[in-house]
Amino acid sequence: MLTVYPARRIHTMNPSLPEATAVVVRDGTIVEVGTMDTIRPWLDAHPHEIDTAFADKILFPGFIDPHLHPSLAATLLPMHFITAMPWRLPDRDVPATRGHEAFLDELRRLDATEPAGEPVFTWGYHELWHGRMHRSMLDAISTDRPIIVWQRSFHEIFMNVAAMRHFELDMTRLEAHPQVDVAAGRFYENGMYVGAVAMSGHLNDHDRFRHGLALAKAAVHQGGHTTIGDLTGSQFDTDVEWAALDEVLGGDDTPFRVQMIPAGARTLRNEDDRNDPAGWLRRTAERRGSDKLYFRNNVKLFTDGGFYAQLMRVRPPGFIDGHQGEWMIAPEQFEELARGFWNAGAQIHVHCTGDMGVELAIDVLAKLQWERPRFDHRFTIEHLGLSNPEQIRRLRELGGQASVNVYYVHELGDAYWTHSVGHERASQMARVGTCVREGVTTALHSDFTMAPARPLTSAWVAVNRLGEHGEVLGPHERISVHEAMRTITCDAARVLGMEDRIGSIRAGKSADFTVLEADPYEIDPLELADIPIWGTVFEGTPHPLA
Amino acid sequence: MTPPIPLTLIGGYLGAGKTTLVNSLLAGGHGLRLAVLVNDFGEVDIDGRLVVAHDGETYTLANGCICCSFGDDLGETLRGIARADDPPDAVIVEASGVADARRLAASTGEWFGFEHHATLVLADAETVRARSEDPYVADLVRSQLAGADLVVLNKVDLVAESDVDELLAWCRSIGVDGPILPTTNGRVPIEVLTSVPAGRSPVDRVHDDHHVPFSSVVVRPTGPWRRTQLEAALASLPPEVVRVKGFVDLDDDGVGRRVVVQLASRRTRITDAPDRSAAGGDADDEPVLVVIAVGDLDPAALAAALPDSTIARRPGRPDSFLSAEV
Repeated sequence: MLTVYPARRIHTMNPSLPEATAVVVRDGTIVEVGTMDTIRPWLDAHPHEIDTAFADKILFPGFIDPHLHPSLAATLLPMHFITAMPWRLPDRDVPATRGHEAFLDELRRLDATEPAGEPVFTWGYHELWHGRMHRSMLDAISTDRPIIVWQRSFHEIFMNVAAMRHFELDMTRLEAHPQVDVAAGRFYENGMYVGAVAMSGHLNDHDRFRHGLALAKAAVHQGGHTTIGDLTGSQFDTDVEWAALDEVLGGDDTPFRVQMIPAGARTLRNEDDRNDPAGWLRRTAERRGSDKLYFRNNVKLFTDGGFYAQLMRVRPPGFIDGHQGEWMIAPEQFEELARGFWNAGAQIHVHCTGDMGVELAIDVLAKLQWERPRFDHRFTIEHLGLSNPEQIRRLRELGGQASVNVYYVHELGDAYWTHSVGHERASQMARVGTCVREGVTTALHSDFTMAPARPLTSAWVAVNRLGEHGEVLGPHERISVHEAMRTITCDAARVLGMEDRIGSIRAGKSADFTVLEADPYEIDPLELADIPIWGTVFEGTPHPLA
Repeated sequence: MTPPIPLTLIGGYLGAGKTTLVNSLLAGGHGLRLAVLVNDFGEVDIDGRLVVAHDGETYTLANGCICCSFGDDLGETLRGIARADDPPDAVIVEASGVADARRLAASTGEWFGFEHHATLVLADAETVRARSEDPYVADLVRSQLAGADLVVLNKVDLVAESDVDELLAWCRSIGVDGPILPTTNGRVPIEVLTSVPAGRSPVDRVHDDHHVPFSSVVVRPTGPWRRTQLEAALASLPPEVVRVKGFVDLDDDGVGRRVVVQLASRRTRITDAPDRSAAGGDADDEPVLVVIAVGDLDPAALAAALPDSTIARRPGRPDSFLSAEV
């Protein structure tokens, strides 16, 4: 049986036939794309039904986010979001909360409405928006209910006295900790881990984690995705975590597939793995993989630290305040790992946030190309926080790709202009325009929860580059709507090495569609993020959001 | 309450000799039950003949030491150790080659059940200068060294003696203000590396190690001190002093008490002795402080800092000066 979907317009993202009005699907695969006239021979030859649900809608290839963390989201989504930016989440719409009193009002509201005695975990606090936080303010709200305020970048926690008591934190000992301020209820940097460890039993609770994963699953669907890449940091290493992922995301009801990309630094743990990276990748896939949560030949490596935490490695002139970022791994070790996976024929994804991290990755790529040239290797820079135009040119010449968290511009552009690296470099963060101009295959990603899991929001940032206060940051790094739509469909598929199966609407590919209520090519680009999403079609099965 | 377990961080850039040091600690010879925590077992050399149990990320050795790989979760590993029925005498953590030891110490130092003993940062005498100019790691290597309680200048046998002097001066020029120990094969005396718990003596060793230039001085107060006097004395010790340990009697306003004194790599701790035996001696023992320093410490140099006492060089090679080398 064939299913025919007529649509107001189908943006195929296949440059040879960019627009169509009908698509024919059989057994989850596209058999024909065109108009009701051109598809006629298929309909004459086979029994078929015509589904007119999308007759007034816009179809795109199913959106792809090549870098999103379901496990991280699972920890965070059960918390209450009190954020400077609005968040649309599966179980709630979070309005923007800005201002000190507004933040405290939200906490008071939660204290008044949450079941008595339940700890209240909040995420999203940021001093720039919400003013200074202090334990006395939290104690004033409640001395009985544990209240935990988790900072947006995960590097700081505030707790009231009830929370310290609840999680059995020994205040006398904490007094001695250089990065815990007991009076202020503040746990920061390494001190934060002291607080986080005390809460880990609560945060990693079996049911809480599954509930969080279910929310993550709904969030991914809500964003219009049909494929995501889970580039793990430390996740899915344990049987416990894998069991939860498989249970919640591995079933037939999940309207997307997850490409699992393991962290290659794991091979450093044992000599056999280190000497045989290809074997390690194969064994990992054999041990864990399934149809829904599948492995390919990809591996994730790291160079420098987190962008929200300002731990990226920055080349001179560095940060305004003179602090240093961090390497996640010694440069020599990174090179050794990359060489092992390069020579094993793997596709390497490298987390790079600062221009020094990017420089290292590109330098190593150049060495590897010299030693053992490869075509179509898909070496991918992930995140691309700070960079310079010359690096993008080199990346192109060496055959690399980019997967960019462009949301940085919107949320951090202003803050990093005034507090981190100054206007020139901050306004050019997430250099998507140069990538596209140079012809580097470029995808956008959310690194959820570093950015909302909403490809249209990422595309909106790439097209408009509005900072949090509404001014344009780096106008020459903006891209067109069409270029932006490529970065969340066909080019994202290439970044995952999956372009033969997904990423465009053409005969032979998986019938994955994202169904929109308005055409991004027709509206004001400033409204790109607000286009309503009807839902998705995943392998031929419609999954409406409503 | 069980006393906190001393925790030592071993830092230093890739290739500085951290794993060599770890391997020698695991081989034993120091008589302590150490828990040695490593990022991964990568190059750790665990002698199969010594292993009495292997459970996941932990090897238990016949000499009483354990070796754990903590991977991404040092905190969880430390929690496990603190909760063990039979906790180790001391914990040694091998930090990653790119860790800023000072930052890491801020986290591990006050982990429940532990107390920070010292942060040792190793440097490869042959390559440290080149690393400190490398555009990728120059700032990291320098800040690692500047953040150390004790810099261990390793592999000095591979460079000329004049180069060692130059390296020492260079270390000072980049902000190293603590003691610097030139050594080979990552040898560090166990007494410097950790605090030997009261009531446990490390085994004697006959091996005479000329590569570890330490000296030790015994200070015997001639009468009770005032607390301010003790604190002032400890604050004014020469920078080459790496350890002070012992107990003294204080008499402030007629209230006498015996206190345990611990100085490890620039950190001082003065605590009431719960009873005299716990302070490391019998009730009849005379108060005594042992001062250990890199190089040849002149007792006369201490006289100004420590009045009302007799000060003498400790004769011979102290039995607690054990090489970590096998």
